[in-house]
Amino acid sequence: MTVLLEVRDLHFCYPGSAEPVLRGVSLHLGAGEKVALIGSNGSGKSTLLLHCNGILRPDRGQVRVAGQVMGYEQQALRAWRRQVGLIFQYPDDQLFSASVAQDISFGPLNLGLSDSLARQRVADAAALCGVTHLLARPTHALSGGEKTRVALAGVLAMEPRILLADEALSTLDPWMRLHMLAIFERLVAQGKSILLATHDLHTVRTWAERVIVMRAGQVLADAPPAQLFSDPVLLTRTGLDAVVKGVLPPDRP
Amino acid sequence: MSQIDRYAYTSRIRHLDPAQKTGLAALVIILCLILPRPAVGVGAVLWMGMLTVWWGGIPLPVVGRVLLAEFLFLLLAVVGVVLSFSWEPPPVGFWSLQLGPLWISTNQGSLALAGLLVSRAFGATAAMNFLALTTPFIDLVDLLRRLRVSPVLIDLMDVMYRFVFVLLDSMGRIATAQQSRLGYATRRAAWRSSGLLASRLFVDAYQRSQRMQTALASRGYYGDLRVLPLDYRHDGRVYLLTAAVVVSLLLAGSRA
Ligand SMILES: Nc1ncnc2c1ncn2[C@@H]1O[C@H](COP(=O)(O)OP(=O)(O)O)[C@@H](O)[C@H]1O
Ligand SMILES: [Mg+2]
Repeated sequence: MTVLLEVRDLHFCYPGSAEPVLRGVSLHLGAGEKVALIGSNGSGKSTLLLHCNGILRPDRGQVRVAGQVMGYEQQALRAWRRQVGLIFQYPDDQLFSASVAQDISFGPLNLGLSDSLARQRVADAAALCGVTHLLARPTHALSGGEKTRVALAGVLAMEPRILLADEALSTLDPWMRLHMLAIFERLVAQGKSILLATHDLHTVRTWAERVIVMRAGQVLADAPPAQLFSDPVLLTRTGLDAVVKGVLPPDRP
Repeated sequence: MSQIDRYAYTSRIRHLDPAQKTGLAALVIILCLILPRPAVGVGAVLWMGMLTVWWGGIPLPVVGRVLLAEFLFLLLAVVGVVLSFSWEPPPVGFWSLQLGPLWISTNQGSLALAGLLVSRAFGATAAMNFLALTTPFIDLVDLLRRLRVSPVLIDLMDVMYRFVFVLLDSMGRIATAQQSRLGYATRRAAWRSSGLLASRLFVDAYQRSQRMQTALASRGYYGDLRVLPLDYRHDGRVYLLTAAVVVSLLLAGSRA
């Protein structure tokens, strides 16, 4: 399996804060892989994903895409974002334009595509995400699930090989979640890789091929879900034993 | 704003090129302003009202209500032109009414002037209504973009319009949360809650703009919100229609 995205020994501390948020994170993502990223709130998942897209710059360590160390100049960032797409938890943070079609066209045009190519990308991404009928609508008149799919289309229109999703399913109802996972499935069939940060263990067990568990800025486990959830040592180390049993151990708050 | 915009989205001619709709409305407004005859304004109101309802597909009661409100407003605005108030009886040729020592009077000249003012303004207003009720804000912004108005201004309008709704949403949620904890139960509490709401909203807007900045960057933003122009239907018959409207208003304005 070819490694598409690789993170090596990332260290990061937000400016002005005392505690480092990432403390030596390493992971990799292969072509066509479906990986879940889990960990309690504040464990550093979002910070890690922002590094994978070149938005944050690590204090130490590097990010490689398709074997290449990524740089932070404008040209390098453009190449980076062409390959790695990122969707956020709240679509309202991502949709900036009052028009759905125009919002989706933003990414492709930033890649330097011509108007006609960008138009094609908008149509393709909208069809893939099932939002073709919403293209002429104003953004503010969409429901939550529709906004999420439009936000996804805005990222997929850039045709990234790697999709990072930061809790993008957590505010959706179960049906809409299935819908999103079905879209993910189509992407994976095209050889794209997906890294999904989530709190939903059901999705983790049923969807992911591999699970990465983070705590306090470190990776504690990296294993297929079947192995993770059946290995008592791994479960105890990651603190997932409590979640699986549904009881907090007396020594932890 | 959002009410009118909602009708605009449902309009039958929503997808007609906004340049054509704006062109028609602009010509009507210009004719109302340069032709000094009340018939022009009246003609403009009839044309624009009819077109908004039958061509634009906006319900008659909606158009009627909007026009009526604007008409009453215009009438109030010209009261000062029509009536003059004085302590002395008016000269001959004036119609007057005596209230105690006060004379309220008017004459044919000021009535004619008021009629002209009202009809002109009403005609122009009806043309604006036509545009506003059939053309959503984003189409107008898109038109400005095509006309090469400063991109900074356009981007600002686009994002502002988007943010208005996002912030209205936040405001609603914060206010509900406050109400559920009796935040508006007494006048004092209401004052305090409103203050908290405002400051909370400010923080919220700031944090949102930070997150939006991040999301834009991840899609390759470098200080330029480039988007595709929207698709519109361009209809040659609109030129005929526009010509008919213009000719009829010119006729109404020229008959001695
Ligand atoms: N912009 C920021 N400035 C300072 N600290 C931050 C910022 N964003 C997140 N943090 C801190 O970094 C830690 C990890 O946050 P985050 O990456 O969002 O975790 P997760 O996504 O796993 O919940 C938290 O302690 C959070 O308070
Ligand atoms: Mg997070």
